[in-house]
Amino acid sequence: MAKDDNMFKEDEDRISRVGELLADDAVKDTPLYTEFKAFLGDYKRLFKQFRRIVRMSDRQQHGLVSELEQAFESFIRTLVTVIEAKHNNTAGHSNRVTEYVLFLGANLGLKNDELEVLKYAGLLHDIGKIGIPDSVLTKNGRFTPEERNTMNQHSVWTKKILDGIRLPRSLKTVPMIAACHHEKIDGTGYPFNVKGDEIPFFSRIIAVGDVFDALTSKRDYPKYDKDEDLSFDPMSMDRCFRILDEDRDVHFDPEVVNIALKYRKDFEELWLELHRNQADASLKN
Amino acid sequence: MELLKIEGAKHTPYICFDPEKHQLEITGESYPENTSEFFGRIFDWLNEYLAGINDETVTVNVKLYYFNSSSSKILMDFFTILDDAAADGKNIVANWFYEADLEEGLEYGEDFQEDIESMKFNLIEIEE
Ligand SMILES: [Fe+2]
Repeated sequence: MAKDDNMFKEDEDRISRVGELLADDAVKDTPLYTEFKAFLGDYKRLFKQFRRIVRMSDRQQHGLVSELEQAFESFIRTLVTVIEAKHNNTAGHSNRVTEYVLFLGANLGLKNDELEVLKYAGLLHDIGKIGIPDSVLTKNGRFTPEERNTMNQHSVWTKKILDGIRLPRSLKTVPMIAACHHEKIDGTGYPFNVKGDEIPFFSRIIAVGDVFDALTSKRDYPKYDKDEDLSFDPMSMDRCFRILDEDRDVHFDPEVVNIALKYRKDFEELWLELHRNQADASLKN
Repeated sequence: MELLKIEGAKHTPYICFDPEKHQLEITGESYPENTSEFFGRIFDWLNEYLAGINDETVTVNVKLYYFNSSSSKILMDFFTILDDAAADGKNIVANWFYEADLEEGLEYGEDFQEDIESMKFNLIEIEE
């Protein structure tokens, strides 16, 4: 909390200067002296009060803002959990992606306010899946081209849903960032088919976190590596990092991939931590 | 002297000043649209009440967490009036209640306590 000690230094000095002048015998015992002395007393009292009111008001504002922020965040997290709970194998996906992108973002040197944006875009990137029919969303196995097309609509839904929320000013970019999480650096992604710098930087971070989680956790869709069909189970870390490495400049932003590779050890530890918690949670159920 | 009771609302506190039990209570949040209008009548009541009591013990219970700047000014004036009455020989005890898990509640109490000289001013932690 900001201390107001310096802010009022000049006023304090002035009050004591006036006090010293009034202590001089030469000015005593005139009506103006008496009146001014009383006035100074009141002024001192009001000044003290003012300082305290400013201090309290700062604390009040801080308290209210953080209460609102906490309410907003817990509401968003609950909303995401509720939506994902419908679909067993994706439970926890957005939360893990958020942890990964915050990890990547921090190592990319992003500032706290930027990490806030990244956090909400990460939490909400797949919220549009609520608009996809269950027959497609929960299908086991490869999609037909039509189903793939339907499924790809989820990022458009994400944007539509988020555009409808009156977000705080600092989070205005979240809908667009979230909408672009399936864009690829070479322009072959969806829904806008934009490429390179046309894709918001934060979306390029989410793309890495999103794919990393898809590869390293149990999902409904079988994993593919090139044209080879793999199982539903998590892929080995080596293979996963090789895919990130090979797909830079095709799918991923090379700068983001570099960070993922550079901090691979910490990244794997984060993975372990998130999956250990998950195992604990499922044991409790 | 009549009981002064104002039901709490979304932005204004519950107020109950009981002249028989000698208990004055302010609880809730304080964001009145017009603070001096809202609190105006409590000062009229208070001055009349204080003028009419002798050595009865008056208990003042305040439990507020969110309040706007003008409410904090009003509260300071409120405590000052009580403190002046205590300096005059009245028996007044003020209790500032704060919730243990709301960090700043205690600090607000200390801020209000700061220029109290004659009245007993207790800071009391409550579990919520
Ligand atoms: Fe997605």
